[in-house]
Amino acid sequence: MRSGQWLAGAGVWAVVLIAVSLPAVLVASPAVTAPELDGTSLTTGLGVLAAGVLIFRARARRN
Amino acid sequence: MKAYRLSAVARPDLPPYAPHVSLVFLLVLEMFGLSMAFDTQRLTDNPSSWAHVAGSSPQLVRLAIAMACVTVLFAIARQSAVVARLSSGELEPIRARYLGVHAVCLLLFVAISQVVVGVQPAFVNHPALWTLAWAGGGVSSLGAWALALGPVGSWLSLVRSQRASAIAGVVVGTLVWASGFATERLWVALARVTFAVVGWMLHLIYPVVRSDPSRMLIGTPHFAAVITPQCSGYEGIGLITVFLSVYLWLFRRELRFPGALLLLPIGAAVIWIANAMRIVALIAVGTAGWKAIAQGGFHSQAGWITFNAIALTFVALMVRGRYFAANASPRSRTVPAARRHDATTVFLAPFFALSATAMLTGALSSGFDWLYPVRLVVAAAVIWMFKRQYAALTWKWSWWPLAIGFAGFLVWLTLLPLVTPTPAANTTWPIALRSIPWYWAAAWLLARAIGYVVTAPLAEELAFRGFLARRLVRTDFDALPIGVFTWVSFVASSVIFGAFHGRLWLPGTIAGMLFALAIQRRGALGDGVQAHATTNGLLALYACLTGQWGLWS
Repeated sequence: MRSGQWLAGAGVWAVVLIAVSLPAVLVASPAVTAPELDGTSLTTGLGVLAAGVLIFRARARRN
Repeated sequence: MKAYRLSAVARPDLPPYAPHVSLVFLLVLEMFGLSMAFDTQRLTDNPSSWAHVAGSSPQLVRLAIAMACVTVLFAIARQSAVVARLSSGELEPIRARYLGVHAVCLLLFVAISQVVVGVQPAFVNHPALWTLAWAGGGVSSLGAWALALGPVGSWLSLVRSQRASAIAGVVVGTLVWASGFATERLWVALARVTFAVVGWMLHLIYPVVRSDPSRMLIGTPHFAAVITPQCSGYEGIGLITVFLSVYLWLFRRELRFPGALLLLPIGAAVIWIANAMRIVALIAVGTAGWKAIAQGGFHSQAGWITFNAIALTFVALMVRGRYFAANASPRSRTVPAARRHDATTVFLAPFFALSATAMLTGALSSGFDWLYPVRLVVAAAVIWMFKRQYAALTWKWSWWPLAIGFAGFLVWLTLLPLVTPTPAANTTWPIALRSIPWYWAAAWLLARAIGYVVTAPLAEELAFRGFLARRLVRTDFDALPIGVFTWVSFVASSVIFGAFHGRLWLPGTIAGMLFALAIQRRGALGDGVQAHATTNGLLALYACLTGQWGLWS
């Protein structure tokens, strides 16, 4: 099998994974909540991630 | 007052639908804040049928979100006329007066929510009245938001023109929502697999492993943990899937497809394995004798540290990796001195360093952050790295920012009792500091004071007013002057700043607005830092004088 065909197959499976996992994870609304999902930890975690991505991309563009 | 008019600023990259998208973003933020502030779980424990009706309302919200998301996806997929209208800018202008109504209704909704969700006596005595008032407040708030976007006629014509997408949204959205209940069982199943993998990993490290599958208890003879469904790794898989999906979509032109799609299953697998390793590390920390740290900061922070590390590694792969990046270029070894620091790094690096270090030191604490001085050292080092760039900003002393800082202190002092019932209840600090020699306690307090009054205001003003407030106006934000004003950037940057203060988001948001106003007068970031430092300094002083440590911590 050519690598292109293999990649296309992998891509299809990746889309299937998204389709299956997203509803399960996002809409499942399980009764359980992880301890790290309190307000301050969540915003700090997302803040570090957003700042990290912005810095990384800016530095990559600059270089 | 020095004011920059937006019309005077070139905005080549601001799409015509930016204000409308900002309003949607505002609604998402509000819903996020409300879901964080109010936990309806208590209502389901109440015997009243009205309490059960109110308690089941989050499910209705989730159903509506699923329907809305699917409808939008169908509309985009069908390349419908409304998408073309969005792109071309043929939209109703935002109607600001309804935004005011929305704000009033939202405040009313929050006030009623405190009575209903808190199951206060007034609600227990008249549950039907309060539930209906609660629903009315929520619907009114949402209705006013919709009217701010466009009149009733426009909404009706939109529904008529998008009938097929709307029907698909209702049907598929309901199916997606219902499938969520079925997949709840997967959390338990995955927890069992995680339990087995953690046991296998522990056997590699410890000669004796304690395991009780009936209680999902695993560990060593000295320390054990219960693998509950939320420890299964499902949340991590969800977070990384959402993060990578959004990233792949936003930067699709920079990526090589379908190869880049491989990152999704790889990401899910990596974060699940990392979650198992996190549990093993937690057991190892507890077994080593640091049980309080394992149960406290490590349990709380290790998940976020793991997720951020993996997500940023994947970003590096997508930016640098030749397999995933469409135009990956070999890294230049010699960078000219003048181009060594980009503006984004200059403005965000102190905030990133401060927050990342806070996560790390938080993971190694058990309620009291003994390692706080590390934050100070790291933030000071990063600020020192960019000292030349910061020196180029305006730093002139003035009474104006001091007055605004004093106003911020009063706002904080006034609102704190409203958002937290016992603001002075924090006894962690006095107990912890009395347990060590006085000179160490004094040194810790000094480091905490310098961090609170100097490095934190500097890092936060650089990030929120120096970067974010301008980045919300224009991509190449450095081309705009400091203090540039638009309502969207002013409100959004302040609300996001407030969100970083957790349950104190309301005083945080108002303080953020005040600091933005301090900067706007002279277009000097130093004025915002002075105002911020004044507020923090007065709060620290007040806490020291009155013993109300909750105001400072």
